[in-house]
Amino acid sequence: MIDGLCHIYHENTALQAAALEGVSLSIEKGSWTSFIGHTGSGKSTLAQHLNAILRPTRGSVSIDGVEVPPDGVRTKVDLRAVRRRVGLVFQYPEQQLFEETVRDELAYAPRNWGMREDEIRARSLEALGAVGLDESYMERNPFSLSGGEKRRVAIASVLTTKPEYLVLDEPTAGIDGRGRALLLSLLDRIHRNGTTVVLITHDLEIAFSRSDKILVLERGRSVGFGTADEVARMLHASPVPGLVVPDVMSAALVMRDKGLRVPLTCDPEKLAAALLRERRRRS
Amino acid sequence: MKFLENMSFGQYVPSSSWLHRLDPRTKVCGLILILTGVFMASRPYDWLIWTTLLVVCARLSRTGLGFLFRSIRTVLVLIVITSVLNLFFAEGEPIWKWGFLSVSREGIELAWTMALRLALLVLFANLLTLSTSPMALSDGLERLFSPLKRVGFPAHELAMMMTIALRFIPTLIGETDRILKAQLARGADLDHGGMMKRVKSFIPVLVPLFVIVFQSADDLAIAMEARCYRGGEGRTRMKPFVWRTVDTLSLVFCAALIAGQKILNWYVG
Amino acid sequence: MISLRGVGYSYSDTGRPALENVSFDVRQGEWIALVGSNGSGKSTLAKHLNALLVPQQGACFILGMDTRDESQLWKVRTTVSMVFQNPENQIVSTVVEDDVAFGPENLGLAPEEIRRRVDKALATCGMTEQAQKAVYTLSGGQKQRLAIAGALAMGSKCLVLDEATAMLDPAGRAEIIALLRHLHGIGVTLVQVTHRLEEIVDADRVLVLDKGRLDWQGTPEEMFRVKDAETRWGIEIPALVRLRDRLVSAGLLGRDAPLTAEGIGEALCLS
Repeated sequence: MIDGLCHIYHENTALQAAALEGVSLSIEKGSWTSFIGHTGSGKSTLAQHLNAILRPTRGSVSIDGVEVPPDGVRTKVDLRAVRRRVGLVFQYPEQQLFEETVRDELAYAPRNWGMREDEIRARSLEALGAVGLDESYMERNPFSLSGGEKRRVAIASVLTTKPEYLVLDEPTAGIDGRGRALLLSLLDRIHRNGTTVVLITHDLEIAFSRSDKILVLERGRSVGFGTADEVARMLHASPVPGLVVPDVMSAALVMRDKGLRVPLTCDPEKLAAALLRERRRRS
Repeated sequence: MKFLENMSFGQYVPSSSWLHRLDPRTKVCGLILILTGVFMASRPYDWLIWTTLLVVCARLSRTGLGFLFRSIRTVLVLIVITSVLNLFFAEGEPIWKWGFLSVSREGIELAWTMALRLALLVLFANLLTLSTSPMALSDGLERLFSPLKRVGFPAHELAMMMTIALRFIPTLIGETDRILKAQLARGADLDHGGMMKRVKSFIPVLVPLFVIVFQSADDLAIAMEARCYRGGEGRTRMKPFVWRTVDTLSLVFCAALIAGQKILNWYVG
Repeated sequence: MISLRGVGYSYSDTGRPALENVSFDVRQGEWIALVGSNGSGKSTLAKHLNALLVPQQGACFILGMDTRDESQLWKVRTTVSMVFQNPENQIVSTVVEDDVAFGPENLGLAPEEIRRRVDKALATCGMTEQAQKAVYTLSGGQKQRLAIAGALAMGSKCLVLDEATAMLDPAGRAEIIALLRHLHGIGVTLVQVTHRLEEIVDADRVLVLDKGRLDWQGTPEEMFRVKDAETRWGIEIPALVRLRDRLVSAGLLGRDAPLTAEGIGEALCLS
């Protein structure tokens, strides 16, 4: 639950720059929400508010009823406890690896939370499984793994605390088609298991095909918050700089303009099937 | 990275002012001369000489005095501390006492002398970095030190290292921020605990940072090789330094100011 | 312009070689796309083109010069320039125009000549306005354009782009592809290594690498028609291409429809 969130960097200095202004939205448990917008629109800044890494300059952020106090205010609220429930995976997460074994890497977060060693081991194996890696990876050196494996280990290291919410900042950045598909099936599985997913991405195909709700940010302000269909139609009617509707969906929108009854989808097969139905319907 | 933009300390502001167009070597040598003069100053009219020169140079660099004085803010604390220390703990006949703190005439004089010296030092140094791009500065230093190449001093290599370091500072600040936040998100606690614990808790930030730095260095080396870099041999410059008459005159002028100050001191006392 | 004959290369003594018996030619002014999955050897091959790596078997010739000939190293590197994946780690200077000048300065050219080349390269890449700006203020796309300008200033007739768009956002990618089209139009030879097949539609020829071997060559259109291309080579056919092919085979679209969302939408024929 985020209401009227305002985050300003360097307030009251000569170089005041509002990273976010007046952003309000609520994220329902179990849903998949995506944040889209051009580079510098404030998506990452907003994401970092979701687990209290950043605190608002104005406005309020509340997570499961716990309100995050504004920046600069001394607080008794245990912000670290929030981070246990809301996992945040940064861009290029493989760069945060530092331990000598995968086992220690996965244990880093739970150890910080004071979990027992036997519980840590069980959770670590579970997390590895969730990202599609088996037990044999536990004793390996993270730096000896391939790029894709490293990324999966990094994501697993956030999953060890079984967060109820998982926020991912551009998880598919810099990887190829195969890696992307693998990562998506992984996220689908995590989502199906009940985790609330918040995805920050430039890949609008993922955002449109999976989100319950999409937030569109432009220069720190929210210019739209709705279902994939609503947002696609909004972007088609009034384009936002830096956001390009995926090709297939764009074609679907053009067809809709011509009066054809087709779904707004990124899947070529679905669109083609819908067009064939249209043809049968008309003949 | 935003805080870098906030800093007016040491920042380069491109312009084509008179000061900007001086040879970097002139400005470096000039700074050394001026600082010599500043540290020899003691009489009120001495300060007048150097403060006037400061304002003149600021004008010649087309910098607002406001911008320049803001750069002092960063070291203001240091200046104040030094002054206070000098005020209370200098030797001399006390003219005012409070408890064990005593203020003497010598103390007062030392305090504001030091304050002025530090302030002028910082302001003149900032004028240098303001009017000289990091590239030009490192090139200038390289040229100044190049006679030493004959005895094996790696002037070019040091200059190149300085340029690359300056180039990567904003990048690395951004990376550090990202890694720090990533580990915080995994429950890192960097605020509590004793000395040892706190140092240990920074390992998850330092190790990844080192990895990034070494990888960047590797990539950059390959990129430089691909662009035919092979050290300082045979390298030319797009913006070569041309030593003009005005450069010689500027240095002579600075030297003259010092001499003048010395003479005035001697005559007037 | 570029000729590879039986090139082989291994990173280690054990395991599969990174490149095996690769032979092909690149003519001046061509736009070649080099595709394949991770581990197919595309990056290794790219590094051979400007002698960052030399073949362990076979040979690589740039304008007739053997890349193993160390005396020709400079000429090779001034003919073929590389643009790397990470926009950050190939920029040396703090100011845009200084970085473009880095290459020509290394070549020991006269200051006026360097100035002329820098201005021309910046203009070609649309970066003239940014000439005096600090590098850290640039966007990802701008940084890659800066890298390309630096390569052009060296006098290179051929640009090798090793996954140059992989780390960019969609806006940055569009900038680079537009620039490549422009460069192709003015006669620069391009070798584009990428896994994003939407970016190769304007290429003259596509080379597909699989497990270190050159498996296939042809035009992009021909490649999209190869059966089981995706499973065979681990690549992903762009969604728009799949849509068009489905609609064409269903008789809803003519074969000559343009490969754009607008074009397909308009050219659709339901009767």
